[in-house]
Amino acid sequence: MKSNLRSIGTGYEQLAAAYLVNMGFQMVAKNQYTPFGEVDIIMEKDGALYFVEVKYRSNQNYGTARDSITSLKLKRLKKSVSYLLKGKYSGYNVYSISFLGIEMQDKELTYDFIDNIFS
Amino acid sequence: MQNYIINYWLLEESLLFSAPIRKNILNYYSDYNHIKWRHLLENWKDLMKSNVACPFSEKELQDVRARMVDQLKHYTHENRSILTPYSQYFSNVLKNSHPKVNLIYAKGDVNLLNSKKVAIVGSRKPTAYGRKIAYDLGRYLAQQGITVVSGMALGIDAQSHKGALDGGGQTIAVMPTDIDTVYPKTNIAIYNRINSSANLILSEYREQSEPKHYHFPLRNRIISGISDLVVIVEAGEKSGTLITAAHALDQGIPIVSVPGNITSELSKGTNRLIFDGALPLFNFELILELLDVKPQIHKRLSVDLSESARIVYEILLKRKKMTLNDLNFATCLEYSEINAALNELILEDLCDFVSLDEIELT
Amino acid sequence: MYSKINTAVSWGIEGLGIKIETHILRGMPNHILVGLPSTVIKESKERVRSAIKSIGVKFSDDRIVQNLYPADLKKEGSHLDLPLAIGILACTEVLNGKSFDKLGFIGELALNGDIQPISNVLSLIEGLVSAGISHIVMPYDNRVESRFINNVTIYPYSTLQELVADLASESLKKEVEQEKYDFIEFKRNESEFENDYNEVYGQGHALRAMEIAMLGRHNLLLIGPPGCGKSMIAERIPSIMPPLSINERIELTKIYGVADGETKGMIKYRPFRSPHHSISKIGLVGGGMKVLPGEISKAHNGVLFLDEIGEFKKDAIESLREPLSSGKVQLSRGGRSLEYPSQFMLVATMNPCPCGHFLSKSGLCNCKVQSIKNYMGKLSWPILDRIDMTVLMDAVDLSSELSEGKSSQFIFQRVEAAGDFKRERTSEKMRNQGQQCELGGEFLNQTSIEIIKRYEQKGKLSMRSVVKLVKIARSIADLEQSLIIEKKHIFEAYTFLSAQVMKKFFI
Repeated sequence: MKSNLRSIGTGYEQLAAAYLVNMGFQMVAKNQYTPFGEVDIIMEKDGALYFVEVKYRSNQNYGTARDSITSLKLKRLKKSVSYLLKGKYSGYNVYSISFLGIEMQDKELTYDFIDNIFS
Repeated sequence: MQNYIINYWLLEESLLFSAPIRKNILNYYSDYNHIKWRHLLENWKDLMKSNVACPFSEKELQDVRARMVDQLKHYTHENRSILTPYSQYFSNVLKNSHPKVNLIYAKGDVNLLNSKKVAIVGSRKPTAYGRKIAYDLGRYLAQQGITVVSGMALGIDAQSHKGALDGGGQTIAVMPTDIDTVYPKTNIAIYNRINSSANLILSEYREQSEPKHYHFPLRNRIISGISDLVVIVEAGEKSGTLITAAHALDQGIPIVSVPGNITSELSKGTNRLIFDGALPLFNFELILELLDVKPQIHKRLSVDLSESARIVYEILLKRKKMTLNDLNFATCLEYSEINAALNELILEDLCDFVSLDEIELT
Repeated sequence: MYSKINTAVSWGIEGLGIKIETHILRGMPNHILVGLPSTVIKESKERVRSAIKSIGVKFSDDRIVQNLYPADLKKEGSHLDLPLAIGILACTEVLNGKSFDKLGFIGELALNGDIQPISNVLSLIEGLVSAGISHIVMPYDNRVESRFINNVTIYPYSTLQELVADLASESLKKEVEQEKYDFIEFKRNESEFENDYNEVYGQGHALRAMEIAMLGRHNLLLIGPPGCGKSMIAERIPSIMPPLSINERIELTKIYGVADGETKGMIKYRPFRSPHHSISKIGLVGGGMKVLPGEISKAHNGVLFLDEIGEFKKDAIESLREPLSSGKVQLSRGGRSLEYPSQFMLVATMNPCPCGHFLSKSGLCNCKVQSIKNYMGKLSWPILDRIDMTVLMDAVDLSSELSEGKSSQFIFQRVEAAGDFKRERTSEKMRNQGQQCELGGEFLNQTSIEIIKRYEQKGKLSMRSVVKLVKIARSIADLEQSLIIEKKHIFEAYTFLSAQVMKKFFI
């Protein structure tokens, strides 16, 4: 079961990566693990680094993809990002923590990208 | 009577004899009443045991005498009169006092001299305590129908006169000046109130606008002399008031002294009097007891009461003590009228509240 | 997307116009309220969200920032729900592009989108009017109160859905005009009063005092042993209180609107407040975190009845000093300084001593002199000074004959008639007639002046007491509809003069 969920996630993360690359981003890394959690996708555009949290919802019975981002998740994401910025990606001065929600509405996928969720 | 007065005036005031001569003449005739002027002129040299002739002619004497008779009218018209030792109003005590009292000029109701009289005397600068006692006592006595005697000086005297007048009673003022001069001037208001037919003003002096210092102690012997009792309210240890006490002692008049705070300068004299045997005034009823007067339950209604007040008062006289509720039922008056009536009576000291809603006659 | 909505908050019993700015930014869903909102207003976020969703509009899942202008004023009240919701809707496609500059909104929202009535409509409407806004959208259930205010156009709505639809089509429905002032005249209804003064046997003088006090609005102290009927008499006060005028009703409704959220609709009766003696100072005069009016303001234009005044907390009683003399109370706390009117008539009862039987006919009292003094000392002179009238009562002796008290109807009518006379008397025309006296321009005749002077000479009256005496006598004369204060009026007034009663029996 667990591995099944994981594979669904991986599938939509690939979709997300494709969508972002289409928007002009360049892929840097995927699924970066830190002691605080995971960053789904890391992208680069115009010298800035984008840490993207990807969320997929197949229906809206339990709220939208945006709603699923709780304050606890945001806190972890922040910590993970700062961990990564101190270590692996210390070369970058400009960065952004972004969100990409993918929702299935009427059997069509919709994308909801928020550039900087802490703005 | 007329003779006495005229002879007195002639001898003491008009003919300007020297003191030894006056004494001689009086000794010879023993009384003013018996002076025979013609006899005196004829036997002048024998009587005086000297060779100097009489300084008057008979003619001159007649003239002066005629003038005196004229003046007599002035002193006896309207409510004025002159009292001599032969007068019925002249008490024995007064006759025997020393120095001798020869004449008293009076203005007002001389019948007051036959009533029960209490003298209230004291300091001219009393404390609030003395002032209150003098006023309250004067008022109390007046309400009991006793005449208040005092000297119309400042302080205690003025307060006791005022109390008596406020209490609706009568009062006698003995002046250190003549009866028509207000002394001291500040007491003009009280003088005017006393100066009515109901009260009495006395003086030993005929025309004396300014009193001499020795007139005050002399005046005091009249105050004590005409009274049945002397109350000393406040007096310092060496004060004029104590002279009154001394006169009273001489004349055999009982003295009542108001006890006071032993630290108070003005109570030293009165406290000393108590030590010396005067009766302490521990309550006002004592005076009635001493005078053998029964306290009046029905006070004299000196004021006009309103209709409702009279109704309430009459019922209270019967029942002595009543609640507001009873009054309402007994009089059939509205509570508004009862309350108004009661306060009217309370203001006149006729009754007062004794508990939360009970009224009793005082 | 940005919008600006007019509304009002209460500031004391006055209203103050404020603006709600709404800005919706793209971002994670968040609803931020700034501009010193109170907890109630912060909670309104949830009501607004539910109400908007329930009318079938998608609640924006972007970042919503709402600012209450002016930002430095602390704001209270659930009536901001409606303007907050309209503010959000005005930023969305539902009401986009509409201008609400001329409109004001007040109302509380239910979760299902109903617009609920609120408690202090009058002051809020006045606040909006003073801010220059005369078209007001408000809860349908509050429309009754709004009729008391002139020169405003009211749009009463009971659901958010209707309102939004009408706003979108720009066709707001006005309040029906002819209903204005229809039912303002309030008729006295005897059956509304549980108790009547004719149930009181004996104690006629206390009833009389009550009548005088009611006419002159004199503060009154009833002293008597337990069981003599003090409370019985005091509790019947509502049955003789004159009806309220329109302005008094408006003022009272404003006070109650601020004081407790319970009261909705206009106040009908003159207030009669009887707080228990455990009340705190703040409960009595007002204050606290929100600086709310206390019992004295709730008793404005009415009666504040303090049963067993000696048992109240000392500081609570002492705090009545200023309100008793100025008729208003100024409260300050945490930068808020508010003034509430408090022209109440104080009626208090107490026993004459700790055991209660001092001076009574029953003679049961065995209190020490000092303990009686201590007991009476609970009422300080400054307070006693402000209580014009004191009535001494004793237990009624049942064996004696008793008469029934006057009926409330009778007393009420007499007070009413005297009240009319008093108003006429104080009018300018009457002032010019008759002789006047130095004492406060009252009509005293020569004999009354003499009586007063006699009391003064006896040392029984201070100057202040004379003024009070004349005040009471004036009321008594008014009761008899007499222009001149006569001797008997002065005498009767003297019975009830606090200073003399206290001096006579307790000092």
